[in-house]
Amino acid sequence: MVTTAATPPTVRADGLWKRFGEYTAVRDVSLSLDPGEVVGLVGPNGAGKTTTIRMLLDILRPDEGSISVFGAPISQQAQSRIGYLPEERGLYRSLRVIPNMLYLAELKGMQREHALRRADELFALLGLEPHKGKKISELSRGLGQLVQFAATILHAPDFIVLDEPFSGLDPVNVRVMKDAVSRLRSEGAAVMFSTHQMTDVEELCDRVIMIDGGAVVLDGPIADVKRRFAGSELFIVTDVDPAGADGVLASRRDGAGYALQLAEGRTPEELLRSLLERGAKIDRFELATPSLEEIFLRVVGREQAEARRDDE
Amino acid sequence: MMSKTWLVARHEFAVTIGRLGFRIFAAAVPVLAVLALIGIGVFDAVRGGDEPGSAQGPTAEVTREGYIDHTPGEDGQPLFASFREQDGVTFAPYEDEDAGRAALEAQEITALYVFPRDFLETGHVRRVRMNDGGEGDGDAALRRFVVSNIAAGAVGEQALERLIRPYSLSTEELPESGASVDDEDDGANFLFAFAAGMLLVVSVLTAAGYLLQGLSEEKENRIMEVLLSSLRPEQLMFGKLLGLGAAGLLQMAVWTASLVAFLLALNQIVDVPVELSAPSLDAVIVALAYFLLGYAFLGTIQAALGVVTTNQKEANNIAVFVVLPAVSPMWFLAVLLEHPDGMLARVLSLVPVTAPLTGLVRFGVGGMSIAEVALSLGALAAFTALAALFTARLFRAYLLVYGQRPGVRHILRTLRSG
Repeated sequence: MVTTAATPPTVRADGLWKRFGEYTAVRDVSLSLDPGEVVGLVGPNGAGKTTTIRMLLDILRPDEGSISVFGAPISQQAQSRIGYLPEERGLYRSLRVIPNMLYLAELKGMQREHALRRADELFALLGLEPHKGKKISELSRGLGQLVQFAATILHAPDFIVLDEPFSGLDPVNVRVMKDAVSRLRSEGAAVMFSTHQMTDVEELCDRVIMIDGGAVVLDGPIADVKRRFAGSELFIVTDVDPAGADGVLASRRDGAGYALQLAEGRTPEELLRSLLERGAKIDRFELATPSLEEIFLRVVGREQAEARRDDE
Repeated sequence: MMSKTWLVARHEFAVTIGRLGFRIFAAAVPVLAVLALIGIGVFDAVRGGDEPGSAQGPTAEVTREGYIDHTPGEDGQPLFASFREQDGVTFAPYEDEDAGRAALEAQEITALYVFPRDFLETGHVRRVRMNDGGEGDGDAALRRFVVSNIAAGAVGEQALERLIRPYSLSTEELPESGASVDDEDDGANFLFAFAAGMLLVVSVLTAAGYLLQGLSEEKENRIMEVLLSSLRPEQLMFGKLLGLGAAGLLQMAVWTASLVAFLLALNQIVDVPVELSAPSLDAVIVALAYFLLGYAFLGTIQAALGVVTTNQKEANNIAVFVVLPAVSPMWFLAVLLEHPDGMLARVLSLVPVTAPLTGLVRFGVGGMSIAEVALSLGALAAFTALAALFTARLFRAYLLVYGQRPGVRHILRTLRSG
C-alpha cells in the first residue's frame, strides 16, 4: 500500500538504538509499516528482533531514535490499537478462557459487553467454542496459542505484532490462523510477523525486514529481494544441451531441464538469443530465484563471517 | 474508560479472593471462633454453670441448693425468707436437717446450708454436701443471698448492690508525655491495638505473598509482556498494591468481625475476666491509618523484591529481611509496655518498617501524644511515597528480566537514574 500524506505509516521507527550495559542489542534500526501491509521480521536468535518489537510496543524505551505510531509519538491511546502475541503463551493458566480474554480486552479499553460479543465471534471463527469454559491450564499448547491469538485481535487492533504465531499449531489450525491474518490485512490492519519459518514469510508477507547483529541488513518487497539475490543462475528446459553455448560457465542436468551458471558479464538475454540462433526449441527459460531461506543463510552467513573477521 | 490501575486492582482482588488458599485462610478465624464457642458452651454446660460469678444465659440450667434457717429475725420471723434466686442458684428452704439431707441424697439439691440460731453473732454457716465434691461451692450466690436478706429493708436497692459489690476500680495516670490516660479504656485499647498489629502483620504477609506469587507467575508465563503492551509499569504496580491491599483489608475485616462476635458471644456464656468495652474512636482511626500506611509501605517493598528476584522462592527468602524488622517491635514488647514514651519506643515509631506495629502498641497503651502519632504517620507516608517512586523505577527496569537477578550495583544505579 502506498503511503500518502493523508495516511501516515502505521508505525515508523527512525535510528533506534538500545543498549543493555555494554551490550548493544539494537543499532540504528529504521523501519516502517503501512496500513494493510504484512511484514516479516526475520533474523537469527539474538539478532535484536524482540528488543525492536518491545520498543515498537513501548514496552522498552529506545536509548536513541524515535518511534511514531499512527502518525504520532506512541501513547496509551495508541497502545489500545495494538495487538501483541508474544512468542511464549502469555495467559493466566489458573483462569478460564473468557476471564483471561476479558481482562486483556478491558486493558485495551473495550467494554465488557462488547468484548463478550466479539469473543463469541472469534470463538466461532477459530473453532474455540467447545473450549471457552476451560481453564488455560487444561488446553493443549495449540489451543492455548489460538486463544492467545483471539485475545490479541479481540479489540480489532490496527497494528498487530505476531511473534512465532504458528508455534505448536497443527496444519489445520495454521491454516485457520493464516486465513485470519489475511482477513485482518484486507481490513486494513498492519501486521508485523516475526518468525524463523521463511516459507511462512514467503506465503504471507508483502515485505521482509531482516535483522542481524542488532541492525537491519535487508528490507524490501519479497519479490524485489529475491530478484536482487537471483544472481546469474538460470533454469531452462530445451531440446539442445546448452553446455557449449556462448557465455555458459557451467551446466548440469536438473530433472527435465538444465541448471546453468552464466559467465561473469554475460546476460540471460544474450544466452537466449544464442540458443535461438542455434535452432533450439525452448519450453522454459527462467531466472533461478533463491528461496528466502537461501537468502537468509547467505546474508546472515556473510554478516557473521564479517563479524568474526572484525573480532579477529 | 475505567482507569487501568483500577482494572488491574479489580482483577487482582477478584483473582486473590477466588484462590482456595485465601478463602481457607480468611475462613479459618470465624470457623475457629465458632468451634471455640461450641467447646466453651459444652464445657460450661457440663460444669453446670455455677462457677463463681458465672452469668447464666436464658437456657442455662439453674442449680438448686437447700438451706435450713434456725435464725430468728428481728420480728421473730426467719432471717432468710426472700431473695432465693441468686445468680442461677435457687435456695430451697427445708424444715429440718433430715429433710435437707434426704433431698441431698436424692440429688434434688447440690448442697445444704445450715444457718444456726446465732448466725448473726458468729457468721458461721455449715455446709453439707456429697463427698464427691459436688459441682461447685456457689459462694458468690450464697453471699448475695445472705447479704440481700440481712440488709433488705434497712438500705435502699443501690446501697444493697454496693454492699454486695462494693466498687469497681479505675485509675487515671498522668504519664511524662502529659497525655491523659484513662485506665478504664486501657484494656480495650491495648487489646484492640495488639489485635490490629497482629492482623496487620498477618494480612501484609498474606497479601505480599500473593503479590510475589502473581509477579512470579506473570514473569514466568510471559503475561508481563502482554500487560506492558497495554499499560505502564507504574499502573501495574499500583493496581496490584490496591487490589491485594483490598483483599488484605477484606481478610482483616472478616477476622475482626469474627473476633468481636466471638467476644460478644463469649460474654453471654461466661464472665470474661477482662473488662470489655468498645475501643475509642481515636484508637480505631489511628489503627486504621497505621494499617493502611503500613500495608502500603511493606507491600511496596515486597513488590520491589518480587521484581528484582527471579522466582517466588528467591523472593520469599529475601522477604525475610523485611518481615523480621516489621515484627521486631514484638521482641521489645515488654520495653514498649513499660516505657511507651521511652527513647526506643520513639525511635521505632519513626523507622518506617517498625512504625506500624510500634505505633499501634504505643497508642494502645496511651504512651503516644497526638503530635507524635502525626509525626510517625507523616514519616511513614513520606517513606511510602519514596518507596513507591523507587519501586516504580525497578518495575520499569526489571519486569522483563527473566531468569537472572540483577546485581546490587546495577539495582542501585537504576534507583539513582530513574
